[in-house]
Amino acid sequence: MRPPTNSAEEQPMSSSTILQFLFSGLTSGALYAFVALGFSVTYSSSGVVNFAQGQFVMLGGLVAASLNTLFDLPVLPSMLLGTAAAALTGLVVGRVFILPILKLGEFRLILVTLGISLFLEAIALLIWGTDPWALPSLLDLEPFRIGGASLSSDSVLIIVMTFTTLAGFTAFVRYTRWGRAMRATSIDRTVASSLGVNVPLTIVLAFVLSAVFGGVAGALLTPLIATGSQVGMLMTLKGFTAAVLGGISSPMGAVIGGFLLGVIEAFAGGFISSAYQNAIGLAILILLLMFRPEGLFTLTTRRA
Amino acid sequence: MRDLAHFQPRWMSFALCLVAASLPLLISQHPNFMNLAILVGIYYSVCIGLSLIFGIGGQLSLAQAAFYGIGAYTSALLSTKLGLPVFLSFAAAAVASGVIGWVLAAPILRLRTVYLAMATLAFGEILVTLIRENREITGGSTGIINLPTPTLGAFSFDTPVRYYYLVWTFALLAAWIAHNIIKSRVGAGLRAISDSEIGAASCGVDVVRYKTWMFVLGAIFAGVAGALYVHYLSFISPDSYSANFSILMVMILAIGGRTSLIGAFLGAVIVTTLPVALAGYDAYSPLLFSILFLAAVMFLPDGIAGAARSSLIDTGWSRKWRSGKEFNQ
Repeated sequence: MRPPTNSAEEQPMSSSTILQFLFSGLTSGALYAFVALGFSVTYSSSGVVNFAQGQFVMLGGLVAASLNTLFDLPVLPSMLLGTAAAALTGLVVGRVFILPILKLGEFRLILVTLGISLFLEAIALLIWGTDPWALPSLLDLEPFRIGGASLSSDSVLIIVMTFTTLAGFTAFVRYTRWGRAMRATSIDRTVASSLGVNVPLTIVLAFVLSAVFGGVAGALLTPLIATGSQVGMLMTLKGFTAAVLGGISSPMGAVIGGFLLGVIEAFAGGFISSAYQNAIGLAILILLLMFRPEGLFTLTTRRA
Repeated sequence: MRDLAHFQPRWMSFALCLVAASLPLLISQHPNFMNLAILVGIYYSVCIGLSLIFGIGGQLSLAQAAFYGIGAYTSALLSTKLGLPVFLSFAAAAVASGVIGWVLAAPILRLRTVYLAMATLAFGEILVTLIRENREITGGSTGIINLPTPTLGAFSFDTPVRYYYLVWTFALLAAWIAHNIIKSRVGAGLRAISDSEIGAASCGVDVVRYKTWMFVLGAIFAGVAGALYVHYLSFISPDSYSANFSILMVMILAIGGRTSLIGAFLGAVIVTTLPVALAGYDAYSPLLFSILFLAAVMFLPDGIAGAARSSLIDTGWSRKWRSGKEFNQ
């Protein structure tokens, strides 16, 4: 992702420039964190790495933007409906596509999620075309000035929302019945099932949750960067990188990985070359998979 | 060993060669059809390489576009900047994509399933960025125009019919090589790897070596196909080498049938002709492809070729044999 804030590339490297890189890194990091969180939820409950994860971001953003642009709906309801559209898609994906073929093996599952991703992108291309769609700012406040760098209210919102979501999700997993069912399913599906957990329902729930995370991220992102119908695949790659960076099986790790990736990319883009910003993020993925596939912060071993 | 699941009658190879050789007699008057036939040959060559590593070996590599691009750019640059004869630059394209494939194979093929898919996808995207940004060498987003036509002595491959024969000679050569590999011990080893890597290794299959060489061979086929295509268009730009192309190749194999060369051919024909057949509605072709792809991976694990084979050729005995094990897991 390009840094959404106005970067001060022409000025000499001062503390304010560095702070500006940090802010834009945290903003795109929040987005990656949301996508990574989605990966983490579905992976730990069903063992599926969902190729379509990034398409939920695209759907959330585009539905919100088009409701606002075409039907003059205020920003907040548009964002909520965008997220709802993503959630509904997640429900269909989990129930119609993933559940029936869950026992067919990893290879077929990957291909199916890849197919879902292509299907969603093809539909979005027909509905929204190739041009990006934008959304006005939700809070519409003056940008905050901190140490000579500016931070827009939308950036603050998406960063705060990331931590709120993480806290909410952690509490959900720890203290609610459904959360416990989810944890049990992620440890051992068969045992969980024999203890009375409705495993299929839990897996569908995980897909809905992951879609909500993607949809929220897309809706919150669209005021900062206009969303196009073809961003999904890149979002999938970036979110997957973040998830691998922090360790895919832990939500906390996914969020840390997201912010880390965003900040590394922003600094690499600022100090090396903004044209290579995406490539550097992807190079991190390759290096990481080669040398530390279990994530930087995980002590447990990867599931075989 | 003759594995019934991959049994291919000999008459089909002959028929394919015969059709390929005589097709220009029928369609040489229609430039659109000739263009399609050349495109099918190019896609078929790329897919033959992919069917070894992905179709038979079960490794989801999405790097095929990258090697296609490496071959295309190697040949385009050598033939324009250094004035190398085009056939030499084709050879250089094979070497370049093969060597890069070999270097990449060592670290990347240790990864499995979705990790391999993501890493190869990332590699392709990095490569496209490198091509776009090194403008002084590659021409950036605008690319390079006026690529020379391949010539052999005084004979120039300057008409679509001549180019068609050039492309299909290579495609059928690649198919012949792949066919022999599939029939050999290596093919059996690859199928074992697809079932279980640990199981294959414990039965004496050199997993790393098999995977590496199939990956390299796939890279070479894709590289030469890429070079053949850009000299046909006489124009090159980075847009054709994105992830979409790699995914399109996987789609071709999934729709046509990933474990047989006939499947790759059927898939290539379907994917190239469908947008043309849809005529005014070709905006819907990505949607149609994704639906076909989803339907194939969910209901026809061995694509159209597999479905046709099991309904036409199978004897009762082989059906019994196959029902015993989950197919190609």
